[in-house]
Amino acid sequence: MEKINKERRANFAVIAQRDIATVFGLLEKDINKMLADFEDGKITSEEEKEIEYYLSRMKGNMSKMKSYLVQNVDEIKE
Amino acid sequence: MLMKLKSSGILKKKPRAGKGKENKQKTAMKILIVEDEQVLSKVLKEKFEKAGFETKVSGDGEVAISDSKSFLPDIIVLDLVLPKKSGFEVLKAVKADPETKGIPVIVVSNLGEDSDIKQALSLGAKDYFVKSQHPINEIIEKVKIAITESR
Repeated sequence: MEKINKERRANFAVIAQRDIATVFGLLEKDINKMLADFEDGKITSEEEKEIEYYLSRMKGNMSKMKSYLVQNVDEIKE
Repeated sequence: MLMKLKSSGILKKKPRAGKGKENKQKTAMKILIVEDEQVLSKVLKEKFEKAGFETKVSGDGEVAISDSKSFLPDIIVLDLVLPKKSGFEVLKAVKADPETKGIPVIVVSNLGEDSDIKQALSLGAKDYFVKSQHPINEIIEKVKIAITESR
């Protein structure tokens, strides 16, 4: 029984690790896109709109992950 | 808990041959999880069962095709890179069989090229999620929404 629980917790931990990597990957991608917009030192109005979009997407991803990661950790503890 | 499952659409009326009486018995919605990676399939199975679904896991493409006919799920969660037969072949077979063609299929795959997504959708997949772009709980939420919508 303990072996099953240990395996179950390990499985959930693997998924939690992947989810952390997923969200950081998504955030990194948006940050890189914003940095590319800043690269020439000027921000056009089109780039401004893009940056606004990336920031709002990052905010969405962070808020989603906040609840999902808490859920993941709770499941590991079960 | 039962009321919550009923109102969420996860429970369905179980059809039963009888004398024309409406059957009030409810059974859980069924999900076929087609995934060869055991860590992921075990976690998906537990999470869906906790949410009130009946589940079955198929670990390769051949088994997935036969399970789709014998288990007759309400929805299929399908990986594309599978032993024996690929997810694309499974999708083709499911959509070609009159018994299973109406079952919504949601693809959850590591393949993220536009061509893969287009191919799966053109073969009849209802939705497509790239694993590296969605946390597992988000995929589960999307499947729950899809299964409720497809009723």
